[in-house]
Amino acid sequence: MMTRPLLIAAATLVLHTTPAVAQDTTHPQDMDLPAPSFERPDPEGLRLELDNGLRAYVAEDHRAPLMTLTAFVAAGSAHGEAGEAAAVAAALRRGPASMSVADFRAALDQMAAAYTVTLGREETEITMDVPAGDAWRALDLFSATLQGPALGASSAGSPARTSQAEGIDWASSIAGAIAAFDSRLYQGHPFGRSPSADDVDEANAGGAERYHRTYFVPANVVLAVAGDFDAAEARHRTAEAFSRWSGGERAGALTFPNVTTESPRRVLQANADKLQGWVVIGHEIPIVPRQDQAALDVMNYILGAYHLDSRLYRESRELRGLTNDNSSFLEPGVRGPGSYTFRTYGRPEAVRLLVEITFRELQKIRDTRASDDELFVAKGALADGTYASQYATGLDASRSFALEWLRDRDHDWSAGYTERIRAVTLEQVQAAAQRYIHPDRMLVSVMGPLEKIEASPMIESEPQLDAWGEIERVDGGGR
Amino acid sequence: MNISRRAHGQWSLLALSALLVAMPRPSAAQSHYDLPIREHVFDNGLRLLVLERSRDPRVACKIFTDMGAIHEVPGLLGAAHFQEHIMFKGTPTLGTTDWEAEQPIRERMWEVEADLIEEKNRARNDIRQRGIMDDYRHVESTPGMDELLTGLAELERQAATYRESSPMSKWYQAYGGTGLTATTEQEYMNFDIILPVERVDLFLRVEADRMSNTVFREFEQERMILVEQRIGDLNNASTPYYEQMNALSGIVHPVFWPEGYSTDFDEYTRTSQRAMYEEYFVVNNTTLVFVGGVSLEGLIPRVEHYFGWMERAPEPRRTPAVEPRPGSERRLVYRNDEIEPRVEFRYQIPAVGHPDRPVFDVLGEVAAGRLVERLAGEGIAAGVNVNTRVVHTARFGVPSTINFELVLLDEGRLEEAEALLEETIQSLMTPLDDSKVRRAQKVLRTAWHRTARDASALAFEIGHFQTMDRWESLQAFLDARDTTSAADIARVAQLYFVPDNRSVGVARSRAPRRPTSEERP
Repeated sequence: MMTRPLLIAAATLVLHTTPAVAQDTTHPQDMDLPAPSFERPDPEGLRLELDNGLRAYVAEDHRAPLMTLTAFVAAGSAHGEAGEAAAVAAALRRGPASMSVADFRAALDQMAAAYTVTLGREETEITMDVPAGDAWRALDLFSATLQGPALGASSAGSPARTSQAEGIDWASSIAGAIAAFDSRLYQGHPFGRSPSADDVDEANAGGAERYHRTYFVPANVVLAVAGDFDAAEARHRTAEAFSRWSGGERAGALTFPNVTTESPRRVLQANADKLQGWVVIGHEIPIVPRQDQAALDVMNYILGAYHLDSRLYRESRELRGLTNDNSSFLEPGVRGPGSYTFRTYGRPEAVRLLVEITFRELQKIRDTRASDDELFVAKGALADGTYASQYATGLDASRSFALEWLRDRDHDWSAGYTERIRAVTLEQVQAAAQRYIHPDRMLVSVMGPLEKIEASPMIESEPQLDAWGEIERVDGGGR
Repeated sequence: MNISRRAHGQWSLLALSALLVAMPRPSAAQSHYDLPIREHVFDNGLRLLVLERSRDPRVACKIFTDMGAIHEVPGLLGAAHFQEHIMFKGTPTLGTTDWEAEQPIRERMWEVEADLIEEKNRARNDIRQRGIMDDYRHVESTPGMDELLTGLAELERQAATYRESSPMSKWYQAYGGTGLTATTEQEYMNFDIILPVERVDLFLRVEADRMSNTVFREFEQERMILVEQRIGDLNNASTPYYEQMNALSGIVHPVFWPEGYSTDFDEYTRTSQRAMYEEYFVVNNTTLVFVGGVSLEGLIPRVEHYFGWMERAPEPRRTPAVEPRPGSERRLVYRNDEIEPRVEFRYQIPAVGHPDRPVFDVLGEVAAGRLVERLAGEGIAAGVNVNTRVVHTARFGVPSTINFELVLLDEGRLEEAEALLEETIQSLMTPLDDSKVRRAQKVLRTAWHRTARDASALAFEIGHFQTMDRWESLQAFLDARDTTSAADIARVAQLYFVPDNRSVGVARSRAPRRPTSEERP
């Protein structure tokens, strides 16, 4: 780090006297671009551990006069009974039991705070972002809310109740096709829960309190604290705010049963009178062993990770102009199943060919080796791009470390990530595809103007949708 | 008549206001913003703006071209956006496996397209095909056009054998680039990447090439992708409503035009796109913006190396359109069963550079809070949206509007909502409680800091201000919001919120009226 300014200064002296007289079009691979000097910060330098078992990662971040508090809780909607997590999430949105909802909202308003509660299947995230001048007041409010949210209120007006009443416009985007896919994949599984307002009301009678008492304990929560402050003071204040939080032991890590899609394939169809059709193709993905993760990441990057140079993107969009996007979403679970899906959309006459191209590329990456070029690009993108971005600022690093600890109870994964990525071979990429992609038992979810999709003339050799599996008509929610 | 005269009198004060009201600027010690932007303008006119964050291991890099949708012409709307797509297709040194073999095919394509344009013009003139309605033409094509189109497709197929797709994206990503994107707004286009600081040369190499040597590859595919993006927008039932409101709000200025009709997409040619490319993508119409771990001193020689060979070009044309001041209230009744009922008031307001402009940000924040309170008090369930957006981004440049929108659950309360909106806006004409102003200022300040925390978002704002006004306006603009008083808000409300300066939009279902919640079973 110390040498970079000196190098730049030296370059300035040399190059300032030699303005270019012709364009430099050296190919990027011949530019001798230096390796980034950035290294992931040491998590030990940010770690704060309280006697009650609560761990926090505290990082200075002086880019703006703000402070961000995040609590990651190792419990989500799949824990407890249906409705309990939603009831606790609603309580967290109402603020601490020691304040009225109106006072809580007023306090947030006075601080111009951004406050969100995000309930996932296995985890819950609570974030409060405030001006640095309000940092310690926010910290106290945040702590009080986490430790004692306003449990027990009726769900009237809550998101669960509201969405039930108003319905969701499933037909307006790919959300409908995803919902149908998820609903079927996780049918009967705790990850497929969609609690009703009545479930939430029932949980408020006692279950929510039990859920909070079980899972919202210091040993089951990891904090990320980042902002424009002095780290020593922030550590002191954080300890003050949370040291009196008592609670039981960390809840035993709950492992959820796997799910599986079936062979032969199934095609879920939902009709929507829209100008485009949306497609989700995929299946479950089991918990990925650590030794498989690097090759899987590289393979996924080459195939379809959400960027502008994947195989799916090139074949569907760049070479054919069929869609604005075709990408993969690799979403493994933490202690349960996840999904590996391929999502695209397009005008009705393009939909069948998009499905065909997606299956073609899934088969291809299983059957053949990727190229050296693809491997080179993927490794650079993952090691010097995606990974480096996760630790580039105090805010990023504190959040990444907190999540790592919540999930793994160590930081080994990130410590060796770039080396593991650099070591991936073409053979391992293909092996990962064969292990984690199974075209024969994909679940295909299509939402859109079905009659137009069916009646559109063939563009290449794409078949009708029923060639991909048994057709089943559902509504946008997958029912 | 009285209203009209009163409005006229108030309008006449605007110029005076601009002259007399100096934009209040707090001293550096009072400012809430730390924006040490540094500038270097090269001899060929290229502008370099750098905000150094020495500890950042990465740098947000952006190249802004002072060209956007307002430089399009009717019949070719969306052409600027299309140009952005084509500029991802590479150059003779990026995106081909054999340029020597590809080049003669590309040259032949220009010739065939010239013949096609001639044939198309002849056909249009011969058979009076001038566009009777958007979905009707006397004939779609002629045998000559068909033959030339087939020839073009065959040439593209031949050229494509040398194609290397996504060349810019590929190499950026290979060297650690993230956040790769591009944006075409009404007044500018920008290409973005975030790179490790050691690799900033890659940005300079790629972007210098992109702005001088783009090869128009995969032209037909991109035409269809634009169609995809357009119909994606139209899947949202509110898109046509907003486009109608834009058309109502402005009569002349292209800032109010939509992003292209389906008939426009057919009209793009390599020839028309090249004219746009050659006129606007020139070094003296370009700004480079960097935020991150780089310094101005370090970058100057690197930029000189990659862009210094370019010569200053003739100054690009600007749209001569000037939006006339509205002479009367305009009203849109949009009947559609798919969108939520709503009522909206829009007022024309001045752009950045005018001292009144920052006041509207504070006013908007205050008004949103007041509308929420009043709606709750009246028991009207509605979403409140106050903004200065026309198509995508909040407007800073030529002409702008402030939009007050209420989106209702019950159509049966539309008239009440409109009256409430009118009363609330009227209420802004008397000075507010100072605490409300201070709260609004804190909300705006915090929102700005959240933007500034993100290097890429901050670089975007710097380029945004530079292309719409001047980068120096940014800090002054933010400071002026902080020194806005309750009296300032009342003054601009009185000046601008007059009926003759207003466009009203009402969206409701087609008859019969939808039932209210009370009427529903």
